[in-house]
Amino acid sequence: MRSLTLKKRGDGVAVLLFDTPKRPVNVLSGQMLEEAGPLMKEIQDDDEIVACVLVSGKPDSFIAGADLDEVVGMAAEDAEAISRGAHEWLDLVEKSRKPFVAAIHGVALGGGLEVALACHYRIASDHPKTVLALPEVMLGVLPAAGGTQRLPRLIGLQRALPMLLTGKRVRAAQAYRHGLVDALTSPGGLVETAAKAALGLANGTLKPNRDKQPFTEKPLALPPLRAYALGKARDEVMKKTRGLYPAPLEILACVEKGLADGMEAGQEEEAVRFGRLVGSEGSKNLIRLFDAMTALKKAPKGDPPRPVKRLGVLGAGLMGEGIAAVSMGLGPVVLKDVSDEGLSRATKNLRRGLDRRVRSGGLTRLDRDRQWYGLRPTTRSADLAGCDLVIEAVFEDLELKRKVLAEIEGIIGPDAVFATNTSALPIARIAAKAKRPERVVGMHYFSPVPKMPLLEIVVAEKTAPWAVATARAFGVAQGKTVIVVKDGPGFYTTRILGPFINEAVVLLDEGAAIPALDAALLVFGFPVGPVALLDEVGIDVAAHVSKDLGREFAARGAAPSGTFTQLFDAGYRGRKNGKGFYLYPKDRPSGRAKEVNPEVYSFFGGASREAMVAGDLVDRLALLMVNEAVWCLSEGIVASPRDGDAGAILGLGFPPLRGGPFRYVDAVGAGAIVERMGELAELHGPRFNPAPMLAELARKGKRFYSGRRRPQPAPDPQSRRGMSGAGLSAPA
Amino acid sequence: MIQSQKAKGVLDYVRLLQGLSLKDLVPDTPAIAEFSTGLTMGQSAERLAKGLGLTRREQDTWALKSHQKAATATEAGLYRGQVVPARVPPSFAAIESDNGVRGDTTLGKLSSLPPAFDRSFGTVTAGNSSFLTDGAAACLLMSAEKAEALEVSPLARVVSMSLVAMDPLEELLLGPVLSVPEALDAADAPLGEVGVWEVHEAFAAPALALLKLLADKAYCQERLGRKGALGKIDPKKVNAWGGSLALGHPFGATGARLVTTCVERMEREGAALGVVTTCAAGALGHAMVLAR
Ligand SMILES: NC(=O)c1ccc[n+]([C@@H]2O[C@H](COP(=O)([O-])OP(=O)(O)OC[C@H]3O[C@@H](n4cnc5c(N)ncnc54)[C@H](O)[C@@H]3O)[C@@H](O)[C@H]2O)c1
Repeated sequence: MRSLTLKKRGDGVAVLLFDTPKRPVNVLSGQMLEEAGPLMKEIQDDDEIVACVLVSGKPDSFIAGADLDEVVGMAAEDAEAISRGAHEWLDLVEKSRKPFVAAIHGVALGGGLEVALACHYRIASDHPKTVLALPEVMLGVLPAAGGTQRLPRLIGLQRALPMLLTGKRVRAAQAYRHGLVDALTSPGGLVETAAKAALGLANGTLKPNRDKQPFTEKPLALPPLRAYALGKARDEVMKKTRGLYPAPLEILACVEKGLADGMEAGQEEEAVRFGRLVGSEGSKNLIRLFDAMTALKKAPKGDPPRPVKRLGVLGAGLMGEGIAAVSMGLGPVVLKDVSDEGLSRATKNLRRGLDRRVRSGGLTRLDRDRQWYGLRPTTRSADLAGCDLVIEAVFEDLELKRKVLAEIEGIIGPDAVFATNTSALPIARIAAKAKRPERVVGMHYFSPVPKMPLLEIVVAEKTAPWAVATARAFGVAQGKTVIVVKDGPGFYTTRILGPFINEAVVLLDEGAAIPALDAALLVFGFPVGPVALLDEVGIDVAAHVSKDLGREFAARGAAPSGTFTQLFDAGYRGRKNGKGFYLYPKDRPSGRAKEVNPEVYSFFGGASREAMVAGDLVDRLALLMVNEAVWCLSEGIVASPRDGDAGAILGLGFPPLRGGPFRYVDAVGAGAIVERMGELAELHGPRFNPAPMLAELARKGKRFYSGRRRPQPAPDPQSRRGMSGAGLSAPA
Repeated sequence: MIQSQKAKGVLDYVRLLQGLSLKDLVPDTPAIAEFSTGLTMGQSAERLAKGLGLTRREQDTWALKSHQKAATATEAGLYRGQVVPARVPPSFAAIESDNGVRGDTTLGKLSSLPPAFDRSFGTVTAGNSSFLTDGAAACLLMSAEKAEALEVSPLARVVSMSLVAMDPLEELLLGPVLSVPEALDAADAPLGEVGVWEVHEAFAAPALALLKLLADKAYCQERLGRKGALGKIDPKKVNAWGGSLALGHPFGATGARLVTTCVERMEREGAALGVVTTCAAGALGHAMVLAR
């Protein structure tokens, strides 16, 4: 079975059809490159062929990128070789006197976009599924098929850098405006249109318009100004990544080299640096995360999910609105709140969100209208009749949650699932008085719901497997990465966050400075520092959680800081009421760093702070989180290290390049971790005692993950994907 | 012009006039952008033509024939019995026939027109699109009992009707493809027995699409859920006196015009069954089976 086939039309156009065997999407691979060589020769030698159209044989997908199974674990030389092979092919395409036209419908990602860039002309379908991006950076590697060279040359440095450095996705309309594609057409007749363009290019009647770069691009042709611009970009990368992620810096180096010394030199740079990145631990961890996300999308064996034809959402607050937003594309949504005001605000925001997506090209007007008319905001509970799944997101109050559950049980059918979005209340307690506790399940979303990739599904003892399967399938359909965890105080994510946040306050009690503490964890790789996080989560919520969890785990020496209560009593709530660890003036210019609220130190023994070693700060916070994660694994709260790692990264921002708490233990070594925790326990108390599972691992010299580099490709073709950037947040 | 309702005194009117520009005095052409998709009819016709791979030549040829047939029919006086002369300023001379018919047009002329909706790669032009025209049409419709009571003899009988809607983004203008089989089924009439077809030519593309798709087995199976193709419509039986491409498309009047022409043709051609079908905004489709 071949990936590439050449078909001659009668009119001088040859259609090069890309259709990777046994895969749902097209991927670039060594084997595919081998096929390309002879076909290129055939195209050049055949006098009947005057032009060529490259098109995908897959539905709604052009080319998804490089074959990850092939790239991962490759030796540096092999990775270099594959990059050079791609360069060779695409140089032939670019230099061909017979024009090549890329006909793009669906995703053109990574290597897929690089192939299109080498063509002489690009036509894209004006369809929401058509998305162009170079997501390599999110996997800790770089576009190694000429992307760092051709993209800035085509659309200019200013528009190319965000794509290269952050993996920014571009839709058809914007791609056309920026000159990334030359023409747009409807998906039907894409090949026909591309063939017309190809003939037009061949006989000189069609001239692409390559004059779409902004005028500010002109001065960047001058080396000193270009160097200045690239220097700025480098500073920005360093600021955002704190130097933890080498890929964006390597990408900048390739761009710079190519613009200074020419395409060939730039591509050579690409190959060498790609080889180096592919083997790096950071990139491996990012790709493992991507793999875990892909695997978690697959339905497990067991009870099949029941169809959710109508969703009910209770509570139109921050969370309820977000849950409705990510569900409207899946069918009718009934959104219920007791407050008409809240309901109006949520409805307005939902409409705005839909309109925004229409403007960006992510949604057709027609689909917007379908979703909009499927939304039913209401203050009457009776309107929830007929819902197959109801997700409640009312205030975090046990009695209230019990009350709404009782009310809803009288309205929905016996087979409908009742899910609660509680952040920490045990599901069993909410369901204690339920008529049918088997259909009560936790669906713990993260704020802001549309942006946060994780959904934690919480299974109480009495929850039935079909209810779990239904909630899980619905979450996957919403685009979430779903981990299924066992009921218990704080479930998984909130539970491992508890000691982490508590320790931050304990450190402040001991005299740590707020900026130093936040900075230390940022350098470790967390996206926000623990103190800033406290303000975001809300000091009231955090105090509540740490007190509850502290009580649960008192026997292990967890010691909730009393300062929490004092802060709460003094009216400190964090960002939401403008009274937190940091100042939130209304007129703070965006981009300016936050300033510490000087008054807050009075709760922590005054303004004079002690210098502490950054490494100690990191260890005390991160190791408590890691240790709690291990406890969760040993208690069966999380089912596997993979779920625990994905949950910590996607839900709490555990540094992705470190692969998650369990990968982190494996990388540092359980022995070293246990030793360090012993020191900390001696200094600061028994809360640092390693979990028995961790101690045992250390004793036996074992790891959480087996030594195998990467799971072998599963026989199921659906399971292997290309480099799609879906859901992965950019490190840069 | 909603403001004019608010104008009260003379001064208000003057102020209102000051705000007017030349543009406001030109009569409004009906907005024909789809409410649901924001695409104009022309853009949708272009999507349709591309999706079905309809060539420029096919569309132009259809348009050419429409003009030629309309010219021949007009010259032969076939429309005389249906057309009421209109007298309008400034001359008030009688207008007795449509002025959009170009019997002398050629394929060469049609193929020289630039694409109107996709300048680079399009195939839909002003020549193979119907033009907006002014006009009115009427036909008298009543129940059988009423006709008996009034002792009038009907020109034709409505056997069945169908009104459908399809996907406004991907299937706009394809309504007839769904409604024709439905109406024929309801009338229990096989396609081959229809002697007269009057098909609205909003563009050449949807008329071509109707013929093409009803003869396409795979499409009829997948989209219409039928066992096989509905059948081939004989193009000679379609719009034998010209269609909307030549006669124009007076909004709101085309349906009655089609029915009138269909009935006249059935009479002259001695056909027992006729079908009238149109596509409409919102991806609607109508079809009606008439019998004599
Ligand atoms: N905010 C977060 O970051 C976050 C994250 C995960 C989970 N949660 C959980 O989600 C839930 C909701 O949180 P939120 O931040 O959206 O709160 P919120 O205060 O923004 O919204 C709560 C809404 O529920 C409504 N409500 C109250 N009683 C109701 C009833 N009987 N029926 C219908 N609606 C009712 C309120 O009018 C309000 O609009 C809580 O359980 C919270 O712990 C919040």
